This record gives sequence, C-alpha cells and structure tokens, in this order.
Amino acid sequence: MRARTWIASALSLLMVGLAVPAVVPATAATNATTTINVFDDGDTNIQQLFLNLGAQYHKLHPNINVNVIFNQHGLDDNSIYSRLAASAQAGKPAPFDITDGSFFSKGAAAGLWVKLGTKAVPNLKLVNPTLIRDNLYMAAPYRGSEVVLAYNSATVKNPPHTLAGLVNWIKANPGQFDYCNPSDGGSGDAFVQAMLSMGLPKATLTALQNPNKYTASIESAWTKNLQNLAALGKDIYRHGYYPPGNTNVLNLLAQGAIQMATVWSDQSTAALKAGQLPKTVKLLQLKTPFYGGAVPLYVVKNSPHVAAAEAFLNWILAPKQQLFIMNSVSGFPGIEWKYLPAKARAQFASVEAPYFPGFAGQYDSDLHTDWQKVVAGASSNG
Amino acid sequence: MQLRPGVAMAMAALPVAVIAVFIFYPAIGAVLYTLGVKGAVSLAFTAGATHQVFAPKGITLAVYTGLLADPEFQRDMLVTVLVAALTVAICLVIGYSVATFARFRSGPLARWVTGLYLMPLFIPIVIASYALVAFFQPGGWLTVFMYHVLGMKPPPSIAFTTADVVVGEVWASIPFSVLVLTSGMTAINDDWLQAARDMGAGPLTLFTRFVLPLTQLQALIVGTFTAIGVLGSFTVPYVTGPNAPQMLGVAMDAYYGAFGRPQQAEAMAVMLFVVAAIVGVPYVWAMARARASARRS
Repeated sequence: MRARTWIASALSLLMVGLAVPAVVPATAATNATTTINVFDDGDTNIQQLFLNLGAQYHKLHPNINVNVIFNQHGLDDNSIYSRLAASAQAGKPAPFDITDGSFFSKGAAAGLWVKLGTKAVPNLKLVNPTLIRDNLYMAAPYRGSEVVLAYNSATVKNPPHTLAGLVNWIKANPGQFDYCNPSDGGSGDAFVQAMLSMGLPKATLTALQNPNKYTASIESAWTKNLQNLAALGKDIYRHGYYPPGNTNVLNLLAQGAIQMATVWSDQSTAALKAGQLPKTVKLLQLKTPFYGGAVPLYVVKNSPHVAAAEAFLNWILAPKQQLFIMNSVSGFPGIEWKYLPAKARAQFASVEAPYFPGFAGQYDSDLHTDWQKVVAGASSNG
Repeated sequence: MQLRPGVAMAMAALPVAVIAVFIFYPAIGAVLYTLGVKGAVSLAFTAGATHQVFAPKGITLAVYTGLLADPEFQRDMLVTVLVAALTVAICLVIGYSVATFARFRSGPLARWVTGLYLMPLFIPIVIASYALVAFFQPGGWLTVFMYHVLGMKPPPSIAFTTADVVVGEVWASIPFSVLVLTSGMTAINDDWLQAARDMGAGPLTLFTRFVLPLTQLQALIVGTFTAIGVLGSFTVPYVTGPNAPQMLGVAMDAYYGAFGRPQQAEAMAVMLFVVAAIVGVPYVWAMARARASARRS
C-alpha cells in the first residue's frame, strides 16, 4: 500500500513538473529577451573583453543578453567547428550567433557565415574595403595586432629596420634570435611568411594572399627562400629550436635566453604593462611590416538571431567601442585609423601601419607543412 | 550469484550500444574516409582541406602509400615506437626496483619511497612538462649545477630533444608501473622464497627464477598500457620535444589543424592504432590463457 502511494505522489509531482514549462514560455514571450551567444577561442584577455562589451551592450539594450562561450586557445576548435557545421547541415539553429573563432576560412569555404552588407551593418563603411574583400565579405575586423620585432635595448644598440638587416644580425649574433613554430603561433608564422616572400614578384604574392583560388603549384616559388630559412636555422637559438607558441618565445625573451624575437604587438605590450617582460624590451616595426592579424568577427548563417548579432557587430565597429577595445587589449583598431579621435591616434603613431594581409588559409597550411619538412627537419637537435 | 542469460545481455546492451554508436560508427566512417570514400565523413568537416585523395569507385590506398613513402613519417613512426620501447624498459627496471625493495624491506622507508614514486599521479602533465623544460634548459637548474659544480663549459642540455621526451614519459608512467608491480609482488608467497633460500638460492636467483616468472602478468600489463599510452602521447613531446623528429601524437595534431590535411592525420591515426593493437596482442592472449586456466582449476 505504501509503495503505491509513493508511486502515485511521485507521478503527480512529475506531472506538475512537466506542466510548469508549458506555463513559463507564455510569460517569457511578453519580455522578448534575446540572448546573443558569442564564441571566442583566444586568450583570457579576449574573453574578458567580450564580457565587458556584453555588459556595456546589455546596459544600452536591457532586453538583449550577451553570453560568452569561451574555449581557451582554441583547444576544442575542431570539435566545436564540426558541431557547428553539423547543425548547419541538419538545418538546426547554430550553437552560437557571432564569433571571432580561428576557423573563419574553413567555414567560409563551406558557406557557413552571413554575407555582411552596409544596410544591416552601416559601420562597415569605416573598415578598409580591402580587408572586407579579403574576408569574402563575410567578416569585419574588430581588432587587430601586428607582428613586430621585440629586442632587448640593453644588449642590442642598433636594431635592424629591414628584413635583410635582421637576417644579417641573426648571422652575426648566433643563438640570440628565435621565432615560434609557425604552426603554433602567428608571430612565427609572420616571420616565415616574410622570409618566404623575399624577392617574390608582386603577382605571386597577390595570388598567395587570395583566399578565393588555391593553386598548389605556385608554392614552388618559395622553395629557394625556404632552404635559406633552413640554413639560417643553425644561427637560431639552440641551433634551431622553435618553441610551440607565441608565449614560449616571450618567455625566452623575458629570461634573457634570446635578445630578439618576433612577437605580437598586443601580447607583448600587455606583457610589458604587466611587468612580465623586462622594461628594456622595446618594439619596432620593419620597413616592410610583418603581417597584421586583423581578427575577423563574423555572424553564423544558421543562427537564430542574425539581425541581433549584426546589430551587435555594428555597435562593436563604432569608434567609441574600437577605442575601448584598443585600450583593453593593447591592440589595433579594426576600423581605419582615420576614424579614431586624433588624441588616440597620436598615441600609436610609431606603430600605426595598414594591416598587411598574410597568405590565404590553404597556402598558409601548406607553408606550415613545408616548413616542418624543410626547416624543422634541418635542425641539429632531435 | 548467476544471472539469467537474458538479464546479463540486457545489462551489457547499454554500454555496448554506447560504444557502438559513439566509437565504432564514427571510427568506421573515419577509416573509410582515409580509404578515399567520398561522403564517409561530412563534407563541411573536410571543407578547406587540401591534398585529399578520393577514389572514383571503391577504395584507394593512395593516402597510406603516400604516408609510408614519406621519409618524415617513417622517421616520426620510428621515433614514436622507440620512445615507447625505451619508456617501457626504463619503467620496468625502476618499477621492479621499487617493488622489490618495498616487498623485502617493509617498513616506513619502503612506504615513503613507494609514496614518492606515486607523486607524479597528482601533478598535471602540463605543469610537469614545463617543469622539466625549466629544469633541463640552458640556464635551468641542471645546467647551472653542471657549470658551477662540475665545471662543464658549456654545459650540455637535453632540453628540447628526444631524450627529454623519454624523461618526461618515464616520469608520467612510473606511478602505474610501481602500483601494478607492488600489487603483483604481494601474490608471491613468503614460504616459497624461504624454502628457496634454505636451499641456498641467492638474491639474483630469487629474482630471476621466482619474482620475475610470478609477476609475468603484471609486467605484461605495465608494458602494454605504458607502451599504448606513450604511443599516443601529446603533451610531453609537444612541450619538451624537438621540432623534428616529432612523435606521432604531435604530428597528427599538426596535420589535422595547422597543415589542413585531416585525411592524412586520420590515416596516421589508423596506422598508430594498428601498432597499438599489435602491442596489445600479448596482453589479450595472456589474459585469455589466465582465464582459461582459472576455469579449469
């Protein structure tokens, strides 16, 4: 008898529990709260940036919540991208609406992102049109950073200002320069791209930067430069050891193990501010700048809140938010420098430069493979 | 207590179904993808991938032959297997030393030593890898010691070499080998050893004729699981290892992500799986034999 009453009361509780959700949506509909899901796979400073931006946006638009989904260093990027692609294929709503994730080119090739236009995103007019075209009109750069040369001004009195000068410096000071594995960090990738681009005709360079057409055969143009880079390996730190990541190179610089390295401007400026790099470390940009990473922000096509996401993106591109972003992460703006207030512009005069686009995604992948085969294989460690 | 066959099957059905759906089904799709079957995996997954090979009809072994002919892959596979073998050998030596010491010299010292060897279990492998780098790298503790105390100028450093990877893998695999071998030692009856000693057996004979044969299965367990773990390891070789040759775990990750060649990465994974399966054969055979003899007796 007791067992039966237990079951009966449990069942009735279950009925009530199931009935509640049927009532709740009715009340929720009258509030019309939208939640925009932002996915980010950078470092913790970018996560904090989006949390701050989301809080500011919510203050302006109380009926919109901004939720940040964070995957540090993009460790799960492959599975998250697969999930997103699967949702698009199945015609289901995407797990997030707007993102600056590192899988932009993969998704662009699969048609997963919304084509942005000035009607939905008026502030697109503030962005360099070349950058929008390079992103196949599917993304807008919302912040950026350039790879620059960091050097210890206490030991390096006359730093080089050209790439050729840098190569001569490396040969004259063996073991004092390092760059990270290009597969693992953009600061190394930028150096390798600059070295491979030396002396290449402009048409080849433009073709390598074109994300729309992939012809593997044009990569043979960089073979000679790649072999030179491999030969340079013996004058690199530890006769050719390339650390796995941007941070590891900064660590070597901080420890004094090397005196010069290619680093991201925002990462190194933040490290200098936090005292993680000695104050004697200075940054400079070469005459032909290393490539800049203008980080694209883009909207997912099968997101349930495309219009809200586009409005959020538009707000981020406004000069006021761009300044906030620059100060938060020690970065460069996504919009053109001329739209920023003059006082802010003066602060960055020494490193202000247009973003140099890097090689397109698939050429960059092949660059990583060839580098691993030729340059990594030549190092005398192992 | 004996379960009715139907109930037993029903209880086993759920885990088998989970494995079948979440492991076997995608694994079969991945293997078909490496054999060049179009549509075996979602196209959105492979968008942007380069150097893919698809067979117009049926399957093709081009991806595998391409990899096997690649000198880098051959070198990486060789290094992976060598590191695994070295790690197993060193772990067995250290494991047996600690287990034998703990077995025959019971007391607080033995407990402390065993506890010390179990420490790596509680330290995350990422932290351990960076600690190893800091210890071995030029300017780290070891090189400073060699320079000032041993007068070696310049002091050699094994940081960012395959030797450093072996040290890291051994460090991470020691606790398992110590645990399993000490538990195996407890099965050795004191009376047998006493009887052998009475007959004049020395310590070496005791070890080779008694301890080793009686802990065969445990040694096999240690060897198999350590080897399989090291074959697929990523963190230690990534942080402490050289840029080339790479262990296959690091190489597969590079091929899948940075190199944009998921088909080659999955083919590497299949080949690594075959190697691991071969490593597992003696263990499976020994377990089956042990179970058969237990049923007979």
